[in-house]
Amino acid sequence: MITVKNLKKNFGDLQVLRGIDATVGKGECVCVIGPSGSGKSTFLRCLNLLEIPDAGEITIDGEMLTASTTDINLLRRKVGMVFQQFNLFPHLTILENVTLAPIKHGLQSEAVAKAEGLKLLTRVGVADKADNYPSQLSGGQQQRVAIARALALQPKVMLFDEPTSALDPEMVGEVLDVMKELALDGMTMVVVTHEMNFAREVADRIFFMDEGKIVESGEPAEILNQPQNERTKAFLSKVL
Amino acid sequence: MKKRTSAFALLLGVILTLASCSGGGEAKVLRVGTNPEFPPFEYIDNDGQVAGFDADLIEAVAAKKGYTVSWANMEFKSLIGSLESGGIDVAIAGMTITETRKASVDFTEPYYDASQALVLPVGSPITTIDELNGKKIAVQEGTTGDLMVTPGGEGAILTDPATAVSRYKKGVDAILTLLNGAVDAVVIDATPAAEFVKANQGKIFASPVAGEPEQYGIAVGKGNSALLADLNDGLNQIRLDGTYDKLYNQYFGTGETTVVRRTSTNPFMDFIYQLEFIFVTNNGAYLMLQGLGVTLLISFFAILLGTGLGFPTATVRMAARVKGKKTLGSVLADIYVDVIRGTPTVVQLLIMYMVIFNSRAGTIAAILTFGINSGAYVSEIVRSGIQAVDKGQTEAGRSLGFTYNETMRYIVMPQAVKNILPALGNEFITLIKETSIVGYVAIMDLTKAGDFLISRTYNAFIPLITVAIVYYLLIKVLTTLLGLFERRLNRSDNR
Repeated sequence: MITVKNLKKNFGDLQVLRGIDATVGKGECVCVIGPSGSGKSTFLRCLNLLEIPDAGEITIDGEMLTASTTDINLLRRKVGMVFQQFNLFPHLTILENVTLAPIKHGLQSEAVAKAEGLKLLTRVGVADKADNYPSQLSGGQQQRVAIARALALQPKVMLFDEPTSALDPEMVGEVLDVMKELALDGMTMVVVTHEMNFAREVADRIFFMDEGKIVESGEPAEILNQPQNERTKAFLSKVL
Repeated sequence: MKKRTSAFALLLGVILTLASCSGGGEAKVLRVGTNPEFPPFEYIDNDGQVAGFDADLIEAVAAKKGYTVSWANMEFKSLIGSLESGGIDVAIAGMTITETRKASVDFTEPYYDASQALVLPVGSPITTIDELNGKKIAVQEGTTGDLMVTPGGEGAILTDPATAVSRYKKGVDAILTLLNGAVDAVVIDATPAAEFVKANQGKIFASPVAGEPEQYGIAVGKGNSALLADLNDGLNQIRLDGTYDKLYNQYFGTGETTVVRRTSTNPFMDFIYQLEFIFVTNNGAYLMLQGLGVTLLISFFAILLGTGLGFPTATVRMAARVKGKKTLGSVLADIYVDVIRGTPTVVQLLIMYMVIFNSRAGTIAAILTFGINSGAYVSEIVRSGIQAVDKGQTEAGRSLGFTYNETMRYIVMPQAVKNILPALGNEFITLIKETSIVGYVAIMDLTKAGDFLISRTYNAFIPLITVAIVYYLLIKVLTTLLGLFERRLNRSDNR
């Protein structure tokens, strides 16, 4: 589903990504872990071109993102993104947040979009807030709405950028539950996270990143229980 | 009599009556320029029309020769420039025939002999103009009186460089300064001086300045001999049929009585009489209402235009910045904002009116000027509003497959508009108040209406305070409306 070859990204003189090669299979859930500043978020943001890579190739669902002929706006519809800060649209109601893209892209009529939107909101458990505005919701509720909003375009891939880092501890669980369900339903997911338990329980594979490279990757049991790389060991000894 | 070196005059024209441009058809239109702030020769009457000796005279001459008169009001010193540019056909404004002026325009036969007068406060020890050396003097800018008392200049009588001369656009302002005790004397044409004295009995008196008498003529563009012949013939006709004598007696004869306001020893009643004099007798209420209408008209369309220009300008500039690629549109938008912000509004107004509109269609020129001016500021406000929207909003929009423009339209702009509403309201308020400079191109707005009332009633306090109150109420209504609108937009904020 996702193939990344020799991906490089600089911010000025700073080399953030120093050549990343990775593949994510269809229906696979990959968690990306690593110390802060290791390039995890930048890697994720390159996957829907919120950051423009300086070198390398990214292919998603058979289409090469980095080719100049690709319509990036069409491709982004296939790649849902969930942000650390939720980024709901504060001037729209919860339901409008979810239905905006399908309606404006002309994918669904307003009536259909509303019905589908309510289904999604029911799925993430905030249907009762459909007519409220984002500022009236808790952080956990907002993040679940953000997931519903991304799902409204029926994406092939979902990207999560530290989806629980901005949440109060008691709200982390409700968001992770929704994500877990999504993974069990067979969604292809790339999740940048610090939630090691989620990674252990839900991920099919884990990428450990450090200094702009994927240093080690493998199944959760291997990475979390028997890390081979010294830096992986050092990182895990601090977080586990 | 007013003198000036015409060739270098700044073109400061104005029209009051817009309609006359597109006249009926058969009758020839004579575009007449004047400065209606020189009673009794020219002033604005109770109906807001140009009136006075000169006005009646040119109307009579025009009627004899089959012209219809279309008035253009402007600063005195703009008249000759407007003749040269063809903005007007003739100028009649108590203009003295001088050799200097003859170099730029042609004059008809003289139609009035005039001389200068000293206007002094009652009890003043001054008797001749020479005694004004080193004193404080008020004059009407560019007039013969101005030249006489300005040491070192052409036609100067005074020699002491310490003489302090205050130059006012209007004779009445010079007289008001004298009445306020801020100057020792006013030097002005004898006929209006007599009018001013009559209106301020017991406070000031006039004393003639010795010197050769001067003569007023009607000016036409240099070399326009056909029109000159028509006017001279018309003048001759009205002298022969008695019209001239009738007008002379009406304005300068002993039979003319100035309307004097009722007075009372009771200060309250006196104040009421004063209000009556200004707002009823002199039709001040009507004039101000008319002026308010003009202010509202100009402000309304300028706000529409400014908003209409500001949003696209900001969007084009932002897009160029975000995409890191300048376009022709963004370069033009950059220049637009830079130039408009870097130059005074009043200069923009004058350029628009004199250079671009050739001293015609003043209201439209004013709307365009203020609209274009405001657009630059609105675009900066919009830009700040867009920048204040969190970057995550754009990222979320782009992640949903929206293009840059769609993201702006559906997600960023609605939030930006809410952010900028207070600043935008502020800009509208500034704009409304800034339109008070349209008097520069002699549009009769609210401020100018107040001005006219001052020159007709010799009372500055009440007209000015009234103008201030009307502006205040206008702005109050606007802020209240904006407040309501803001509250509506803030629905999504209730937590």
